[in-house]
Amino acid sequence: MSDLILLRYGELGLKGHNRSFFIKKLRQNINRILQGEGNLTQAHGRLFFHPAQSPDRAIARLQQVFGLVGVAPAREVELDWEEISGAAEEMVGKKDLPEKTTFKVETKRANKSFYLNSMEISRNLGAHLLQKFPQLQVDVHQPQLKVQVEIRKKAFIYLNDYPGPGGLPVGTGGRGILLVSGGIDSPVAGWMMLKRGIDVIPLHFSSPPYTNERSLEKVKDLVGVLQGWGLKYPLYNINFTPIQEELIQKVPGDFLTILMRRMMIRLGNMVAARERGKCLITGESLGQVASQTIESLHSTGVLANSPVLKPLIGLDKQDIIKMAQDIGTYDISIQPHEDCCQVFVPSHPVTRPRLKDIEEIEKGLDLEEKLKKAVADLEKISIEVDSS
Amino acid sequence: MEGIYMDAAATTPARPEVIEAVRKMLGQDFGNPSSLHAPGVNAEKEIKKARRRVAESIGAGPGQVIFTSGGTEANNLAIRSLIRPGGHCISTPIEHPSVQETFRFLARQDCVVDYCRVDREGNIDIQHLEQILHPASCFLSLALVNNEIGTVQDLEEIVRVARKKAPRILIHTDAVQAWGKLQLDWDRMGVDALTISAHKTGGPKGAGALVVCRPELIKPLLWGGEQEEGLRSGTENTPGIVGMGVAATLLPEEKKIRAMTRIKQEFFQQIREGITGVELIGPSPEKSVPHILNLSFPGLPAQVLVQALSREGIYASSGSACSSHRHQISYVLQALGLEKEVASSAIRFSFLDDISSSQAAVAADKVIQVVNQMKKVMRNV
Repeated sequence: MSDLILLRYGELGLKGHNRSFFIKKLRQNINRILQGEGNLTQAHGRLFFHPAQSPDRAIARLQQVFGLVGVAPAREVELDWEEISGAAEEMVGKKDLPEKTTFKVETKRANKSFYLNSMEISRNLGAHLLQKFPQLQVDVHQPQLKVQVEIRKKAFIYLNDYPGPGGLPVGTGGRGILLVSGGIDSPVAGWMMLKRGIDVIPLHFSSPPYTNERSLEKVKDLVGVLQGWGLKYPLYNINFTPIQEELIQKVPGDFLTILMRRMMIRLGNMVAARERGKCLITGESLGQVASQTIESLHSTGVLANSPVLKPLIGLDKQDIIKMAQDIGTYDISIQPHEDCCQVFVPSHPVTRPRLKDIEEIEKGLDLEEKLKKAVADLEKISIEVDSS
Repeated sequence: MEGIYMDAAATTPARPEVIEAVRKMLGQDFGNPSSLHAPGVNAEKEIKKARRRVAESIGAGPGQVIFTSGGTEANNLAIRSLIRPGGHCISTPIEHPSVQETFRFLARQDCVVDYCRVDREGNIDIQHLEQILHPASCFLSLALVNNEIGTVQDLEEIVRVARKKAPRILIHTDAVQAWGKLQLDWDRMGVDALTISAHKTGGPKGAGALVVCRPELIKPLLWGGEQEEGLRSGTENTPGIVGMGVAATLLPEEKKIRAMTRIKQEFFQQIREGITGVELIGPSPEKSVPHILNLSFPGLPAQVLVQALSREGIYASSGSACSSHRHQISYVLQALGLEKEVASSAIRFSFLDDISSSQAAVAADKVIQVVNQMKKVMRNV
């Protein structure tokens, strides 16, 4: 007898001959995210995870693997009625059942050599459980609890699924560069694109001494959370100070933010080219701040050499906050350390910049060398994830 | 540590003799002073020695020293013991948070707390003190030395005025930034309770003391095994206490303190010559406590400047270490009535007692260089 976890994947099934590629990625991701937590096996077209220790902990982590739609605790036992009914009884007993719980037993018998047929197994096991747990009631149409039995070389018993996060396995959608700050939005944007299978590289701009050492620590913590969701790159950190200092000295204050953002897009392009990234990802949400009006987005967007994915574009701040809380980034994001934009936030930034004006201002700048140097000196910071 | 540490008001490195004593109490002399056997008796003896040393450093009696976990606990213990429920208390708007927050808490209960005005240099306004005192005032707490700007209060005069107006008043002073920087004479100060902390002057963190005139006035915050004559239960922090005792024997002598004042003046002079527009906050350097100098560089955000200096190996602070994470303008500087522009650009330099003239000169050069560079960048903002 052994405890295992049945893994179900959803959309993958629809992907025709790409299926094996998707499953390969999914397996790689599970092995990476749950490193040292147990083994993954494939049998009868299903994925099973064999937890080394507590299945609860493994289940919680598996619920963070994109591509999985369900995670069900399961038992593998010998083909023996006592064992099957005993295991089912123990598993149901572990659940915290409400006063009245409707249930049904569903059996698949692939191995016809077992002496009971599927109807008989369902009926006998149902009777056994009813006798042991007075709070159970049979409902074959919409049961709250579903006990599933599969008869193969061994017998497998599963209970209800815990929901998986859905989406597609990270790495099936190409590589993208996430412009990440210590704020609430950009980590959520990164999470959403990880969910659609993009292999996200987190790129951060820090500008010491205008930003605090601790604000970089905060970004590292955020990336650590995203690593739990399948992000596999270290934090790419660009020293933005020389560029920022030149802008501060040469650019009218109300244009500072928009020009800084244009520089960041240029740097994003350069990093994408170097890392073969196919898109940029930002946490912009329309109208949230001055640099996120449609005019501002246009003035940064025209510079991008690849699509700029903005998954939060239509969301309200409250929705984003809710997501950040669910993902686990919110409590880190709200710690009070400013990023490089905040020290110099002008009191009245332009909200509807004209591209013509911006380009005119940029003519007076010569930042080519500084941009190149910033990318050449890019630092890759690996993050120690505290796995406890 | 590379660089020059100029944040001694936040904390100081333990002196080698202190480290040795702490190590010994953690290892060889690990006994619990409450135990009856030889190791316990030995630990008790060591604590007794430390108590005597700490008492002697300010001219008090050993029976008047209650060891605590540090300045915050000692301040809490003093205030919560010496107020009378519903009574009238007096403090100032420039106290350390451990005093200010305790009063705030008590004001939400049933105490009435009045705050005595301070002038631009942080000196308390004695006339105002006289006005707010009344015969039934029960408690006064004020810091002998302000931790952000280094103002030294005229404690003897304040005590005299307070006792004249309110004969039954009990007086506490937070002397955390004074211990080891000023000559403290318990009898002359004439206060009822005084707080000191070990780590501000070469001792270990986690050790401090409340020195009290009459221990019977103290009401314990912690209940348990009746250590410290029942006034502070909990197994004694023997390494911390003994380390504090050793630190008490190594407080800098007057000559060294005079040298610190001179070095601070030179440092200030050099910066004033190298940077236009620098503003001194608090009293003039010869009047303030020897180790603290607070300067403002208007136009440069203090936290940015601290970070820029840190990259050059100069470790100073914006506001006090306890509150500088919050990035608000220091309430102390606000209470002085400084303009926002001056207050938000204030940096506290605080010197270790073994700083040399040449180190201070190197540090001043770096400050000048960093500030002038940053001024160029920030000119537009």
